[in-house]
This record gives sequence, C-alpha cells and structure tokens, in this order.
Amino acid sequence: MNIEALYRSIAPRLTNWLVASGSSYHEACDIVQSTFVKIWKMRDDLRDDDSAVSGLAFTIARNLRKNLARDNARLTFVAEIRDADDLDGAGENSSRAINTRAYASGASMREVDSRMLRNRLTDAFSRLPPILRDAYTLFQIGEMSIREISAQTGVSENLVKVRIFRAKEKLREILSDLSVTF
Amino acid sequence: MEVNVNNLGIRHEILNAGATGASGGPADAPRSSGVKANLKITSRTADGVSSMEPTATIPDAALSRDDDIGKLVKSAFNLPPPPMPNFTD
Repeated sequence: MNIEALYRSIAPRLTNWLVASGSSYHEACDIVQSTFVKIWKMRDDLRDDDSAVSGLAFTIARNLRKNLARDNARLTFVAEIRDADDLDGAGENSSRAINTRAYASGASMREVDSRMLRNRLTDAFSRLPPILRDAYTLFQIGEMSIREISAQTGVSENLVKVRIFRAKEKLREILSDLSVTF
Repeated sequence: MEVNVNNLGIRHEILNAGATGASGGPADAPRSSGVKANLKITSRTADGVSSMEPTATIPDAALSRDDDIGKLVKSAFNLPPPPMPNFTD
C-alpha cells in the first residue's frame, strides 16, 4: 500500500470536506494528519483497495472530530471559516469590511472572493438537515461515489441520490441571491 | 410540494422532479392534484433513527458534480491539504 499516494489523493478531499461540514481549517488539518497516522499504523491489516481506504479515512476523520468536539465541549459546527490569516466576522453583511481588510493585508481578490464564498456556502450547509448535508458534502466535496456514501451512511444508494438531489434543491433556494457566472 | 398520505396519516415532502408513477388507493378516490408519486417507506437512517423518507428515481443528470451549485462549491472548497506526516515507525 502506497500511503503517500493515498495521502495525495485523499487528503485534499478530506480537508475540504471537514471545512465544509463545520471544522476550522486548522482543525481540519490536524484531523487529516491524525487520520493518516492512524491509517499508517493500521496498514498491515488493510486491504489494498483505494476506495476502501478512502471510506475508512472519512470514517476515522468523522470520529476524530466527534471526539474533539466532545473533549472541547463546544459546538462542532461553526458558521465562520477561521482561515490561516483569520478573517473573522466574515458574515454576508460585513463583506465590504472584509474586502477592505483583506485587500489591505495583501490577499488577492481571488483569495478574498473564495473565502467569502466559502463562508457563505458553509453557512448554507449549516442550514441543511444533517442527513442531506452529509450526503451532499461527501458526494461533492469528498468526491465519494454513491455506492461509497451508501456504505458510509448505511442507507440505500437510491436514498443517497434522493438526499443529494434534495440538498442541491435546498442549496439553490438558500443561495438564490447569488448570481453565478462561469 | 406537500402531499397528505391519508392512509398513513403522514405528511411527506415530494421531490418536484422525482415524482413518478402512481400507486395505492381506490380508483375512484378523489385526488387533489395531478401529481402522482411512488412513496417508498424506509426505516433506516444514518443515525439509526426510524424515519420515513420518500424515494424517487433521480436521473443521473440531476446528480452532476459540474452543475451550477457544484461549480460554486468546487470553486470555494479548494483549500490545500496539510503537509504529509512523516510516516515512520
């Protein structure tokens, strides 16, 4: 098992999934590293199956976060992203202030826009029912297949599809004020 | 859209695009709308809590990761992963 290759494949998805589902970026990084240290220790007992290891990584990360939340006795869901340079208070109503501060700090417009969008999306995810949020973020950000999500969440593949579909519909409602052009 | 499933006494939210087919009820039963839906009752959830969710056949196109919402999410969640740990015994 090539743990380095697995890390390169899974760690980006896992990091972003953790942030999307409520962790700060720093917490996500700690969890991802701890997850892979655990997988490394378990490597002799694991099947040489990337998909299985991917599912295992998400399960371990989810449990580590639960343990962290329990230990810290605080909410696991934070609506604001605490990035490396701490753009605190990044709600949609304070976007102008954030822009000013962030641009002044030397961040590029693209980085600021990305942070604001991430903040907005994280807030939107927090407003989804947990089962819909879980299915959608695992699918879209975790890049897991329907089958993998079904195994991960213990529901049928058809129900996973329904949940993803419903999550997308609700997200479109919540984010209807955003004009998106690609 | 909400449908009152009278024979079960349960209210279900039906997916707009997922409702297909028809089932149940006497042929002459009054219908409040032209929408026909299959309702499949399931009692399993990720949390192990008994619940009932409507299911429908979702076309693959509706599950694209590259639609409007998908592109939005992709553009926002592209954070770099942490450095790789030093894997040594």
